Amino acid sequence: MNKIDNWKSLRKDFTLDEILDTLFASMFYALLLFIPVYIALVEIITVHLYLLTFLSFVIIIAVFINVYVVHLFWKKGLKLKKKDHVTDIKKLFLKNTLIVCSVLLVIGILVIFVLLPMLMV
Amino acid sequence: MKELTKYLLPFIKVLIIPYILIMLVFVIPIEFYLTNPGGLTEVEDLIEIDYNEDKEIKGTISTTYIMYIQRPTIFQFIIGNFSPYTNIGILTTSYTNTESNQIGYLDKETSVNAAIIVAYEKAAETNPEIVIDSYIRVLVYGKATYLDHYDDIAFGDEFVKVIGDDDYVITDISEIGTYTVNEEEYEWFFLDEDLNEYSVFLSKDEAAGLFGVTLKTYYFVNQETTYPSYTEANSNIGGPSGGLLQTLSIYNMLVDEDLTHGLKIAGTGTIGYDGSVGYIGGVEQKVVTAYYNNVDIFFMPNLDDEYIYDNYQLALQACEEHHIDPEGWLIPVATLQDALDYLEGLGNE
Repeated sequence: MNKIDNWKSLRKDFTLDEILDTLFASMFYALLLFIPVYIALVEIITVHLYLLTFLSFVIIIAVFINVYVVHLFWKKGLKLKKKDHVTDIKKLFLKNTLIVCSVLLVIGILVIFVLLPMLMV
Repeated sequence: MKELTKYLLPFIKVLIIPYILIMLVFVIPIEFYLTNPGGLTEVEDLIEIDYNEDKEIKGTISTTYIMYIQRPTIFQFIIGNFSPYTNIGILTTSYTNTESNQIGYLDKETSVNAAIIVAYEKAAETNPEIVIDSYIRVLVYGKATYLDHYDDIAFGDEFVKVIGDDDYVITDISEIGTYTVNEEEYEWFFLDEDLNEYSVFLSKDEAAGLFGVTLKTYYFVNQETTYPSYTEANSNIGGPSGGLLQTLSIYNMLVDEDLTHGLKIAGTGTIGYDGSVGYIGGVEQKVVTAYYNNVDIFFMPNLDDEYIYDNYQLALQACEEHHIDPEGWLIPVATLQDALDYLEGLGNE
């Protein structure tokens, strides 16, 4: 059977409460996993500040992976809630991951090239 | 939430102890300090002078900052050990991180005022339109651990007076020792940062024979009677080591010619009210910072070639250690005039 990969279909498979509950749970666990990563990167920056631009890009990549893990947990949570869904969650969330990462990339570049030079006065 | 928690529970059970241990490595501070290379800050971003606004400054003049980490975490200490540019030492100061930041801010603020005074005075030598007016303030610069009312007196508070022996009112700090001999304690008056006056009774420490408060005299710019006016941006970087470059940049904004000649100029060194340049710390990290930022000229204090801690000599050693060629860009200076002569000489080449 051909699965559908849009949000409307997901809303038919799951209630809004189920989707949001799984989203918050996945964000919580993904953040728990990534907090040490972020602290480590910030502490590396304090020691290697002369590599600030490069390390800021590393942080952006870490955020991308974090977003991917959130979607991974979200998908897993939804599948655990209901096995017989018709939506292609994997494809839907992959598209969503790419969109979120693109937005974060723009924000990250603005932080690196606009905000950081303004703060370093 | 329940389903995901149930699914992840076996992993959480296995990872919880290592996770807590890792987090402790990230947060527990240790009694060391680290100095690491930092970056450059253009003085124009910090101070804007309302003068010569049509003048085009082709190059840049920047101060150099380094990262000083007081009481690093275990993780910072470990990665610092692996960095060839990090200097690690055992912490000897009793000041908290907040107090050190307050001192750094005080140093920065007084350094900017000194830079403005010196640059304006220098520019006024050839341009009578420029007027600089300043006033003196005596500020709290240091506190010993035995100081009474330690928490009531803040760094940067202004000394007003002490009621000395026989009710003699001491306003000149050089008289404090002479007129505080007979009593157990004396009433000191200060102004806090909001200029509210307060008084505290301080006694001398028996062993040291001192009150435990260090006072320093500073000159501050009287902005109302100074021409041209200027604005100073908020700054996150503390310390006095940008004094020379701040002075150079402000002077460059005041004179007609462009001293930068399109070059990326940076450096380090404090500035004295007489235009003398003073030593700074973190020479090795500053040289590395300059190297990584591809500066064209880097001014370094050089007051005595025989002195083992002379900044320029230390910079040459750092260049040798890190295989950096100092030829042509590392410039020794002892005064503001040395730096100006060098830059003016570039225009004649």
